Amino acid sequence: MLNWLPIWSIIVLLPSVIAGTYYNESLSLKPLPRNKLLSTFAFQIDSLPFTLQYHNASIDSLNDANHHYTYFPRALGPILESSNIRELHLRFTQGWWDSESWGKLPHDGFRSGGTGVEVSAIVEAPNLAVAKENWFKFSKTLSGFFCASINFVDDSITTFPKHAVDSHKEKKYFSDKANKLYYIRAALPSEPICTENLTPFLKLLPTRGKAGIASLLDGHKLFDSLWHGMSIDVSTECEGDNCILKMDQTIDHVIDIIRSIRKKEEGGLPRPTPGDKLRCDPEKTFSVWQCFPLGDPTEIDWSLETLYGRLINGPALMNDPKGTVLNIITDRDNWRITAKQDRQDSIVTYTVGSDKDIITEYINEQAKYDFSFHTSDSRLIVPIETPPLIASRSLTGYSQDKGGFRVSFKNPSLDKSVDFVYFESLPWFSRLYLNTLTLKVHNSSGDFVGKDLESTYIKNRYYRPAIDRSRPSHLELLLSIPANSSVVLTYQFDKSLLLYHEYPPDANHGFSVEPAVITVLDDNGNDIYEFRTTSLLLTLPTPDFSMPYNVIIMTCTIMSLMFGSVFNLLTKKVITEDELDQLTKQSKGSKLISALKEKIQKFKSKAKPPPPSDTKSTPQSNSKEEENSEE
Amino acid sequence: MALAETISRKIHKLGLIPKLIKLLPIVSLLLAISSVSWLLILPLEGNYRRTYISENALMPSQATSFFRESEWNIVRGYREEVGKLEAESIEVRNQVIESWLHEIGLITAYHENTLYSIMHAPRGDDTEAMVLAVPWITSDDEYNEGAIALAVALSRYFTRLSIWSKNIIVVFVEDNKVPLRKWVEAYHTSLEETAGSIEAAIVMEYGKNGDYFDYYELNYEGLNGQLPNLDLLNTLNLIGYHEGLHCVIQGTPSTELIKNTYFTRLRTLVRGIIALTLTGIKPKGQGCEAFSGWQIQAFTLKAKGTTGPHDITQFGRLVDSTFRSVNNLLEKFHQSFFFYLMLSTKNFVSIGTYLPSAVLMAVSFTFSSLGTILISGIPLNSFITESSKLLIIFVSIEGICLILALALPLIKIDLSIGLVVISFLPLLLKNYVKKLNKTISFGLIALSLFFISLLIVALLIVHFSLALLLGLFCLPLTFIAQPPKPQIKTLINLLISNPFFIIAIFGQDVFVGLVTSWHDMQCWTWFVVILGWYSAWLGVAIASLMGDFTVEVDKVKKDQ
Repeated sequence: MLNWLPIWSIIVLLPSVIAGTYYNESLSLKPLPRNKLLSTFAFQIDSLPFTLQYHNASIDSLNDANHHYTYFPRALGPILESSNIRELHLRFTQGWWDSESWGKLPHDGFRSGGTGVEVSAIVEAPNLAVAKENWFKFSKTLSGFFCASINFVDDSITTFPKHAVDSHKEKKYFSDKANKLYYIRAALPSEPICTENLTPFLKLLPTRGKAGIASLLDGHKLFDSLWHGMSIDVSTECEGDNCILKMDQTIDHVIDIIRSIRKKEEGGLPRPTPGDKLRCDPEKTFSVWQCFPLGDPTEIDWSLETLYGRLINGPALMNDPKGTVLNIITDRDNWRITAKQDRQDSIVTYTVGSDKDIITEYINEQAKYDFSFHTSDSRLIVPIETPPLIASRSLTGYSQDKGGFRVSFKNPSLDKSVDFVYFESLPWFSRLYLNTLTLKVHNSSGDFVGKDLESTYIKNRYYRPAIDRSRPSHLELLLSIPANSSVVLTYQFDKSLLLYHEYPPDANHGFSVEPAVITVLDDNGNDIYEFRTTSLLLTLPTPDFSMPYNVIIMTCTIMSLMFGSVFNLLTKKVITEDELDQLTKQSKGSKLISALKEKIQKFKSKAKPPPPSDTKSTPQSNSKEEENSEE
Repeated sequence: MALAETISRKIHKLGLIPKLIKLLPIVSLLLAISSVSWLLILPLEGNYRRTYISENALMPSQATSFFRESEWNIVRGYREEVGKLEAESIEVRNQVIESWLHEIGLITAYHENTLYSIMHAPRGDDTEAMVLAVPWITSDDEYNEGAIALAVALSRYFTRLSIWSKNIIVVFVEDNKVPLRKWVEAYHTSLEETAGSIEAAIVMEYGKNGDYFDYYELNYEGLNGQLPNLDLLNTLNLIGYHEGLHCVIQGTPSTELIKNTYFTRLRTLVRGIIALTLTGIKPKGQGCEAFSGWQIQAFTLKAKGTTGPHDITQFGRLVDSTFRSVNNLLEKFHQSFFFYLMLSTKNFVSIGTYLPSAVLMAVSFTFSSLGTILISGIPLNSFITESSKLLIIFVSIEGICLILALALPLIKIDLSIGLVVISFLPLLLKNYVKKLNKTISFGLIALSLFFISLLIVALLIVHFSLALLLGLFCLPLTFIAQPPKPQIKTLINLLISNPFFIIAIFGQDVFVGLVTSWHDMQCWTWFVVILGWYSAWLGVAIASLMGDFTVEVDKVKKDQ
């Protein structure tokens, strides 16, 4: 299998080597198995040289009159300078990267974030407090800029990655020798990525998305991909006192070609395929009403217009013939690629080819470009590269009070061991118990579990426990997995109860745990590949939010009852039962009743004279006997 | 306050308390009767409610399902091939299905003999999933041909849509009881390939009904009294209504489908209570109970009849539209009821309305227990002095029951009749063992009855059906000591309240299911039966067979 790593680096570096301008862009198309397509947009913008200055907000206001940004976005420059950001990495990603089928991530994963939004930056500051202050100020500005909830970045999700700091150590671009550089990172895993993030992204380009490859980018098509990621990387590069800001913007996405073709032909609704268009297996029963479906067709025809619904609108910059490049990475022998230039007066069509591994085509005419692709067997593509490590993470357990994480790593290589750094930042409300960390190893000789395995597989560990509401727990493990084996890490945590006001809107959705970052190292300890696990949804005990009202009602009821009885006791006069009887006899009501009773007695004795045997008994005792007999 | 004072003074003056004490056994019986009558009035107009969708996000049947027309051809195509697999072993079947799923482009994995595929949602954050489970054999022991074909066709159809924000897992399982439960457990503990937390699950059964079916049956009972959120059932039923399908719950005969009378509602209510109690115990599972306890809302759909007028794609549309509704959810199911009793597909009784029934039953046992002590004529002081002895006896009874509870699943005796006989061993010992004194005799009965009352109270919210049935079955125990009955009546009362005797009536396999339910399904009904019901029964049995009641009988007579 060919190693495509250098080719990828050529794609990234190529434009900057050739072109002398401050702006380059390239679109790379790479067909993947099962009629999928990886499409990579890369834009590179450099600023003019300037002298790096430390900006102290409390002393002076930002003076950038001497800066001339040219192609570099005027909107972003002052934000970076006013908060002394020397390096910025911003990632917007959504979907699931199928590494089994699609292989390695584009750019070796260094441009792809985890689900949601990820921000990391290097801040120059005299001390940590100032660095944090700048970081929070910066994230708030960025939030408005990219229409994302980056303003929710606070202490409770901010981390200072250890390994990343170590690998950035050699970078020295201080404006003031007394200052230090701080690498700060935060992730918002539950942030949905949508068109409102794409628009500001395009606004940063000098073309504003109106010309060059950026003219293809349409939110409806881009976000209908199987996986997509946008990234913005700004770095400061200095030679002596002269520094420039370098900005790399990329959009990577995986397109389902068959779905795109269908959408173009049949419209957006997934209507059933008309009976005569069904592709059935002729070897099985096949009739007007029965069809055993075949898989996706392998002979396919598609063009950029099929995928994006638009055409490339000429080069990005008219005076730069090599500024806009299209790269096609595929099996040349089996794919016929045709370019179509739609000029105002004529249409030019020609076959695109190359004797190199990559087909490179410059967009240099003032015309609308379309590239159409035809193959008789779409399975014949450049072989995919197996990623150096496969990892997955899941939650275990079901209760509302505790749970566990299970992370499994698999080294697919048959002969090489793999070293990597596992970085995980967990929200403070999941209280991690590192003593519960267990390691299960599976290799060709069987399964092993035990505490003693830890020293064999975990080379180094860094752990910074969480502080409630102000710091996430931060775990970094340096692991080494031998060839053809897999390791499963499990650890337990407790779930804490949040305060009433700490629950977000839609609290019953659960809480996202940000993706873990895995950085694969080579033998010299350099980063060679980076990828993320998926984010997880943590269910915390969530109260019924009408509960406080029930509590209020209950409390009020009890208080009123208590008040009633105390008031009653305070105002009433305490008397004996005999006194009560005396008093009741004297009351008007009882007098009336006794008078009535007497009258009834008289009436009774008149109507029915007592029998002679009962002459001695009084009427009163008589009535008593009657009562008894009734019983 | 003043009113309460007046009343209490009046009661005191008239000497109502001793009279009431004498009436306690009757009051207790009346309470038990009122408990049952409470249930009987529930299906009356005005006591139940109509179902409604509580969670706005669900929006059932708002989107047109396109699982129709040529998709039917595909279902037929798959079904013929599935039919050919009937004679094959599970391994071969799995291999064939797996190759089809791969052709569709899905990721597959195994857990023991269970094959499952995952479709990762193109939209959404890959943290939540929905499950479609299909057993190879239906709960009626039929080859689940239609459902397997539908599941594959639906998987293929789902990949065509880009609207999914929750992952879809399709599980092909040998049997919908233990293997499915094992898969759900493994998903949350040890599986390599997972797709986030499962929000909802549908178990699908469509035997060899062919292209057409008459109506669908819905099963929803979970383990240990758990039920899926009512919103999920309402969603399905509303979708079914819009499809023009008839739904049957609790095995209502098809002739009574459209009727919604007092008696059909009562029948559904009673059968629902029994079904909920027996879930996880019956030898055949419905499938949906396998998801209980993991915060997963699940139900089982079964196609019934072969004549029509409905076709197999309509059955598929039920699943498709339900998934689309669940897919809309942002929050977990939490808006609607988790505790309810269905009276028909459109009517239900919520927990607040039916709970008093079990409360009345618990109070009935408490009164009965009080009555036993107060009518005995023994001064209360002697009960207090004998309390330690009483407790020792009761704890040792519990100890015996605990040993039985743990030992029986291991021994796996499948003879509950034998246990009934063993239960009456105290009868044989009667002449050899020293008689218990009168305080202990009355005390033990009272304590056992009070224990049942406590058990009902503890269970009534979590597992209403079990609490209520437990109360009903134990009711004969309250007749034993107030006033003491002749030997034969006591024996009859003891027999008809013996747990093993009642289980024997339900059937031998129910007993086996009950004993193995904890191990297989994590259903704790077995422990309630043996540690709660049987221990209380044993307490009453020992006291009434070996106890001494003679003196008290005279005393009671004298008092009268």
